[in-house]
Amino acid sequence: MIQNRTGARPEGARSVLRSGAFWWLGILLLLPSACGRQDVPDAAPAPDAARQVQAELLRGELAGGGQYYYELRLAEKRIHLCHSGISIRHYAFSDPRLGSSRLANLSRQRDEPWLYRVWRGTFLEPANSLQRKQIIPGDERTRPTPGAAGVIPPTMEELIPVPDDFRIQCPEGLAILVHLNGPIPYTFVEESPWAKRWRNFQEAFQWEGPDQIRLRLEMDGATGAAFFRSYAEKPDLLIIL
Amino acid sequence: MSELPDPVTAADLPSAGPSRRKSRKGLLACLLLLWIVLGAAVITGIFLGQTTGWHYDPIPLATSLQYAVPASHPPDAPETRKLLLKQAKALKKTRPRKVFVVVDRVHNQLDLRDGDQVLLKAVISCGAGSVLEDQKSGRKWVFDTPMGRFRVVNKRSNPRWTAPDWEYIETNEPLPRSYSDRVQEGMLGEYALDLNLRGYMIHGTLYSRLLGRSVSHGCIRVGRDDLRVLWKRVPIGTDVFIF
Repeated sequence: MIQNRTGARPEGARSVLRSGAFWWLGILLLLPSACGRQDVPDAAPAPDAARQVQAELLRGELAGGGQYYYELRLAEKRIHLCHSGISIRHYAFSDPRLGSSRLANLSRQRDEPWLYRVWRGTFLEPANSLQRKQIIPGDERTRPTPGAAGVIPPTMEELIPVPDDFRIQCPEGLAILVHLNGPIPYTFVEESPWAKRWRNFQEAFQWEGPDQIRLRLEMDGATGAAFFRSYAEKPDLLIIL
Repeated sequence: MSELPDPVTAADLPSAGPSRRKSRKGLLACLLLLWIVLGAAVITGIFLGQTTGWHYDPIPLATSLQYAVPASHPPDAPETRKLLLKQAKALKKTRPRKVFVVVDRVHNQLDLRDGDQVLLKAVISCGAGSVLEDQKSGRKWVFDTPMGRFRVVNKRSNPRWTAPDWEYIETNEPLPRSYSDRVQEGMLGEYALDLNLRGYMIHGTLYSRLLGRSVSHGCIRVGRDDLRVLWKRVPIGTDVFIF
């Protein structure tokens, strides 16, 4: 049977064309809104009852430990130094990021939950070691007297050098890299950018995949230095939203 | 007359051309191969350098719960409520009840706090962190202000100080024979608040010009005016958090 291809279009074809035009119109209308999409503020979801209970239980457990511990609150962008359930000091940070290891552009991530979890026995790398002074018995220079000016003794800020990049390490497989922006008060140590790159390369060059979860935070120089110098001994760290 | 041999011509010599050319070709091939290997190594190095390493992406807070440990306690379960209640009771006991003191050893600052409200901010002097060794006895002292949670167990006005051995070793003086020779007045200022760690206290100082610097042997030295406020507002039993 030969169909007539000339003349008026049949009704079915017309409806198909009409619906196609509608689709195109719809796409054209949506396109500008998709291209010019405004950045929706990345708000943290309000924690549900289960999460609140979970956080309370973890906090309570740490508070009863009788030791200093840290609470990293992602949404608040602060790390709190706590003891017995009260916040003693807090340190603001910015730009929290999650790391993934790349080997020849293949992204690899350790698939393990790290939020709403207590990370035990954290420590700093490099350590916040104090450059201790030896007192020479009988030497007035090492011992101030009320009358004589003597040598002005150094402060802890002068005795504890702060690196511009340090990390909070946890033996259970977490590392939080802290990068300090701006001037660091008093003594500091600066690592060359090449040394940093080389270390970053070496640490990612593992065939079996990353051995830790990595987060990265930024702090301003003064806050980061205060945090580094005051870091407690092997504190536990709770990460919550 | 003997005949002279015919002069040697280049045509008579064994032909060296093709073998020399061959060795030159071999050398060139080796060089080329070396260059290819080196180039490949450099390109691989650059590629690995650019594509290997840790990189960091922003954490999307809105979807961050995907990284959370699954909640183990259902919020409405009676056991969970019991557990929370038990914990709240325990926390009520451990939390400081009224005012408490916070000592920042690094920045030589003392805060008197009531909850989040700061009642007093004072510049103090904490432990110098220095080390003293007695060559004769082999004893060693590290002058640190200890870190942790402590409590005020005693308050004294016009306190007397019983100088320990290190005081004499530091000044290279002989150790006194009698206890009374060790007692010194005025060294601790007007008041002393003893902590529940033997020998450590919050007290006044003669070295007020050194407030803000780490100079003490582990005690917390406070200026006269601030010490008067502490004396008034800090009762026995007050918690002292040193970090």
